[in-house]
Amino acid sequence: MARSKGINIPLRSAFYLVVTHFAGLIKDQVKSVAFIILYLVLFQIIVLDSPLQDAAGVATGVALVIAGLAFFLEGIMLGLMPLGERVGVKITGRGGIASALVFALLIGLGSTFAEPAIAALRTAGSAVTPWDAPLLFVLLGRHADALFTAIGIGVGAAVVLGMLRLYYGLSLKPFLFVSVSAALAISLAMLYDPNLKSVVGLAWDTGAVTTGAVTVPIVLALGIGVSRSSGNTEKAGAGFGTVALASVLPVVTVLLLAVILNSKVPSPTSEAGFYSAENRETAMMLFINSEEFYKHGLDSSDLEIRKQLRAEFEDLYNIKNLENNIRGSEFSGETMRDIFKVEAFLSVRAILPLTMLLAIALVFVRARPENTDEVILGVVLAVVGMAILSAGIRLGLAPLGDETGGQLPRTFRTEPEDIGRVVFENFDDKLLFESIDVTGERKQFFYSHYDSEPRAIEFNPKQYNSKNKRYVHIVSRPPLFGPDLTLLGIFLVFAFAFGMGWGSTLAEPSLNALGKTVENITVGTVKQKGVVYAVSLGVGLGLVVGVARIMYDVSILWLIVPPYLLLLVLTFFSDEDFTGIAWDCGGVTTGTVTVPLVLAMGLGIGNELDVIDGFGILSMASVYPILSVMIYGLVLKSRQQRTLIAKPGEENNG
Amino acid sequence: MDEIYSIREVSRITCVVHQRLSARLADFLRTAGVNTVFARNGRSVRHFVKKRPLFIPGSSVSLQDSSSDIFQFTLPRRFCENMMSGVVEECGLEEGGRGTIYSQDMVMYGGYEPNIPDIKEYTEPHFHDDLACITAILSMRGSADVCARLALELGTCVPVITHGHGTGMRDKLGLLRITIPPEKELITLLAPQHDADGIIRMLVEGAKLDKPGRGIIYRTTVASGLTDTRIHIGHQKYAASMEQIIAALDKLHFGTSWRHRFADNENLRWSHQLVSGNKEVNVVCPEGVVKNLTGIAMENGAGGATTSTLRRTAISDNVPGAAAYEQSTLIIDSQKADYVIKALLASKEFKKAAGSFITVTDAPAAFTYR
Repeated sequence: MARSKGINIPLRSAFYLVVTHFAGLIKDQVKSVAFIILYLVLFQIIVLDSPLQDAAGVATGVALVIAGLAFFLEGIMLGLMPLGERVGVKITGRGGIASALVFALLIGLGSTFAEPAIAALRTAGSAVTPWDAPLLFVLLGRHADALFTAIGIGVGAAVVLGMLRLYYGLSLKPFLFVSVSAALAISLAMLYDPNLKSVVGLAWDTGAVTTGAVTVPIVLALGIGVSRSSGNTEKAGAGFGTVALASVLPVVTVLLLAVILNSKVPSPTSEAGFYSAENRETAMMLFINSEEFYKHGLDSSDLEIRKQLRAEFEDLYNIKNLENNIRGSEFSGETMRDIFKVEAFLSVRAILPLTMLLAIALVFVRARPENTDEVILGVVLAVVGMAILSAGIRLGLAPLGDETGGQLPRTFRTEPEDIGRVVFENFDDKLLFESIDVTGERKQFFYSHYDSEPRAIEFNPKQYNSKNKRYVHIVSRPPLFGPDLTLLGIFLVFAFAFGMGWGSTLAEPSLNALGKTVENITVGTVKQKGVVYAVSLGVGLGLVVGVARIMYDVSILWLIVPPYLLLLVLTFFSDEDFTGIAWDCGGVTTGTVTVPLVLAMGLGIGNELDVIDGFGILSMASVYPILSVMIYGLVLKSRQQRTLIAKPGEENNG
Repeated sequence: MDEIYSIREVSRITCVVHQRLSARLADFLRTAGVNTVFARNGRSVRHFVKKRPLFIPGSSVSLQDSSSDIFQFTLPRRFCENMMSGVVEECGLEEGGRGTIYSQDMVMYGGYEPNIPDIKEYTEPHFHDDLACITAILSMRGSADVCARLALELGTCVPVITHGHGTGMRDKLGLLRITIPPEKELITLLAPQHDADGIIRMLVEGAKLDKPGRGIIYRTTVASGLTDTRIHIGHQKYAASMEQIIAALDKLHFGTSWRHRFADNENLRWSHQLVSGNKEVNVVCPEGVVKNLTGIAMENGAGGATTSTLRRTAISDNVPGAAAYEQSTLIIDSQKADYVIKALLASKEFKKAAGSFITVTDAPAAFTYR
């Protein structure tokens, strides 16, 4: 390589350079994370009026998140994106379009393998039961592989179509019109089958989740590269739009998969009917083997069912510590080191295979990255950054989100909530006193000092067992805003959802990468800040709608069909460039930071209200940003229009 | 040199149009048979004047960005004027707010033989022949907006900002280079020749180019051109904007010299600080080669280079190769320039990269921190 001889920098100045550089990066990330952290903590302390548990752990986690974000973003910018763009530029030129398409398919499939969305989907569907929604249960359990493949095919097809489109300079709009209307039509048709109906939320969420923090920058950069090398940018926009397809097509493939599987799956029944002996054969179809069935049954809340199953299977399988098997495995006994190990493995799995694929493609077309050393450093930084980031999320952000999200229902609850029991042995009637109110009604109470200070506790005769002299006191917490103030509570939940969406999206690394790319490509006409704020606003609104769906149990179709129809109309009138950018934003929003937080909140509320699944909330967080960015684009467009005076006989938007 | 390169005197036409007009311009150039057109994205900045709300007197001025595409292509000199007239008529550039066009005389080494455009005779609009092109390459993010604001306040023209990547000191640092951001902002503006040095001075002061590591500013000559007169948009007080009145006076005076603004003695003193006798050397080559070529140029005496990405557009079918191109801009002392160009032409990287070429034009004035 023809590079002029280097300058020797003394170690001290080198150190200074590196430190100031990374300090700058970290400062940026502190800014982007500050809002969500402060918001969660203040909300918990001021509104929920409960102290922060494990503040040290959360603080460590937050510090890790910040460092991780800084490294990861730098890694993307130095390594992954230049590599992707380089491949995009070279592969169509030297390899021809056919090899480019094969490669695109591999990237699509590979990204599904690298960043499995299944984990997030499983969390969202953790309360799904095999009797209420058998099809959904099977998709997340026994046929998860099929779901996985369907998503892979969807993303692969999307990347292929995206590259084809950019290569031949075709507009994104027809692709969107066809795929989105197909997805909407299938979803609508599915309403008529109770089994299929349950899958709609999952399918649309899949679309939102598939494109993760690694896939987005790579696919984006690839598209930009292909678009640059083809030169057809007048009609196709500057390389955006592939991420958008990658979040719409999986919806279609998952919906189709559900239709195919539907014939093999029984209809929904009741819980008792499901476990009854007559139904055994059909029920078994939902599980891999009878052991799984047995385990699931033992987790049931109904005592009769447990007894019946135990009688039947106890000889076959020896499952004793069931609680540990099912519930305890996730968090108990996990040290920080374990978390780091797992996350390091996951981040290597997410980044290395895709990078290798890109490297192989470059070798195939006999090209090199422009700065090999920078790319390698970038990839290393990305791996390290992602590991630190996800560990930080698990240690700090997710527990914080869980804590606040779990307590959130308190804001709109009307009745006191049981939070524990205290048993008084040796209880005696002599301890009781009486009190009276103005109408003459009397109540009995006693004094107790079980939590240090003596205080009065109301006496309920039903909880007193005079034979063994034992009184059970149910400790309850009054509703946060009294029985009448639930409107304020609901408002607070919405406010919380909005702030959460806004804040977590600001910190989303792939969105920041997208924003930077947009700013660079448009030479600053569209600012990174503008895009990021527009998207965050959209996610905030989306979460409000998503939470409303969980609280009022609205059918998901009501939430999905109207905004998407509106989007199609807006798309028709929008600029080619902004169509791509806006739809890409929808795929980008739900990433590393947002998903765990959003799910924690959704499940917190869902559990409280006994909703079967937390699906739909993610797809809301994905459709509204498209809307908001589209509108932002139209505003910008109308501003730009001001400079151009139309000549007679010339269309204003031509 | 073991191979004789075609050296030709050409005109390079630069045309900045509003993004909505770029498809039309590309179509026109394609049908005209211009074989190598390069485009890049840019941003035009204008003043947006808004009346203050609620009867508060006066008006507020803010900057308004709009996306532009910058097209560049080379032609044999004798076809230049007619081609420009054609572009002006097809894109309606005589109307303000649509774009700017200008041509510069260059010497071109290598590359494809420019096609002879196949277009009808167009009536020539009034082109100015006393313009200068000022380019500033700025290292600090945001400097371009400072410069744009100044240029707009001076009422010179609508400045155009593009992005590029710098190489220079940075590349000698090894991996440590990642700590220095390579992004550069390039701002280009057309100004009346006699005012150019004064404007350069204002920009140097505004963007603090007299401090180290801020960037470089230089002036190149323009053969003829037509500037965008729509500097202000939004609220307008009178029947014609000031720019329209100035443009009308320009026409009456057959030039812009009547606008003379900076006092001569002041200018003279300042002119001593400007470095004269530089060349602007542009190396245009397919994506991927530019780094090596810049390396060669820098080994042979160039101080630094700024790389911008180009895309070849309006391609007629008979030209091979991919559309991703890069352009490296170097400001070199005239004496060194010949040496650098020779070294570049002799290098095997340049020979291998089909379609690459070098254009050279005079940069009679330049300023940077020394």
